[in-house]
Amino acid sequence: MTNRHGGDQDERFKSLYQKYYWRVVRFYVRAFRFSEEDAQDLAQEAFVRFFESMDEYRGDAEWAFFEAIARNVAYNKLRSAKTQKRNAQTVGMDDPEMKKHEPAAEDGPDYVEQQEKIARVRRLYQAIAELPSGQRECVQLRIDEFKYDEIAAALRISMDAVKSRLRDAKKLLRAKLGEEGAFPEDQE
Amino acid sequence: MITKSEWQAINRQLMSDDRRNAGDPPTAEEMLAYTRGELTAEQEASVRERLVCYPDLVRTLTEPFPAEGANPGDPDYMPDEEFARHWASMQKRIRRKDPRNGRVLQFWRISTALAAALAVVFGVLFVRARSKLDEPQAITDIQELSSDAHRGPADVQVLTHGDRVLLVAPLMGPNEYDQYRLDIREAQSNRSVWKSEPLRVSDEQPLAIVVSRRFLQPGKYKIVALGISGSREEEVATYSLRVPSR
Repeated sequence: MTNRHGGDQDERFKSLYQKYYWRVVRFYVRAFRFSEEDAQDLAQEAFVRFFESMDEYRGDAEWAFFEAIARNVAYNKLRSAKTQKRNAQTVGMDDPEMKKHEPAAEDGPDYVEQQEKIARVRRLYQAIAELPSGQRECVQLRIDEFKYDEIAAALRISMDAVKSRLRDAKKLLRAKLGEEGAFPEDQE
Repeated sequence: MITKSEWQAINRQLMSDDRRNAGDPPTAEEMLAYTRGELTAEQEASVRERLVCYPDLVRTLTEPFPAEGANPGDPDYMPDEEFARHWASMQKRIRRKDPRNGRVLQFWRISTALAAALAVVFGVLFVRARSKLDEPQAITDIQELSSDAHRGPADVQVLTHGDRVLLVAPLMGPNEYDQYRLDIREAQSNRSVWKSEPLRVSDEQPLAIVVSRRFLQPGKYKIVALGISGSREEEVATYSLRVPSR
């Protein structure tokens, strides 16, 4: 290594890199769903940026500073990818899962049943869309299979608040839709 | 009964519809400020709304950042020889000058600053000779901009009155890029009307530009601060600004 910062700091950097590089890579893969290759590239980028400024930080502040850099690098990568894809994403009513319920032909044997199914799906869509925003956020994340503590962490609210919002939302959906509004986890 | 997969399809539809209304995912700056609890209630609500549209981002908040490193002997610990290979490839990315050359660097910075100052003076003299309209002026109108992440893009700032205004754009947190650049863009079309040269900025030093009222027609603009690393440019902050009619 070059003696860019002085021997001590170079050694400190080397030590941090050796201890954390692969853990940061795994964090990127788990949290950001990056490919292993992208995660390695980003981890190195984060460490390079850290190296360039590390002499300004010490102790706990040093690792907090690295975390900020590492997250920043990843969010920028994620955001640029998402911004590019945003307009291309159309799902839901055009989603294969939804299309399954479209009638094949008007005179098909299941036509009425299919139409009813579409109407039920649309009623549920409307009912979720009309939930108060706090409840709706919890409901959507729960449908996306996030755990209660994960929802609490993501929305920066307490677990109790998550539980109470979900309870209220379930009641509202049941009141509007009856059994149709039964949450997947509550269905027998 | 509506099945679980149908619930999920409905959810995807809601997210897709919400993405169209809510716009782009939160910026890195917004996400970091959100996790640190530095946003106002309104800004936090805006980030939450967009988080639900982009659930991949939620995972980034629920997964803990590594707090403990691996020790020699752990599978995650990088051996010396592997580190040596990484170090070699990192050299290509490390672009900053060696601080041991600080004096030389300082000399060149001062020389550059002097040269730039002289260029400005001669430039001003030249323009002055051509027209008295653009004489150097003392600036009394100084406006500190607040980034959209801190203020919310809906709450647009208005350019203060005055022929020339010094706009100061603070950058949040440590400066992580080699250089920065400012773009003035029309808010609606996102068309760039002016771009600065790349600027080297020290930590906690803001970016600043002098804007002539004659240059900007009344309307809405975005001043975008871009961080530059090698050939990559990333938006680091946006400051929405309305130029009122005179």
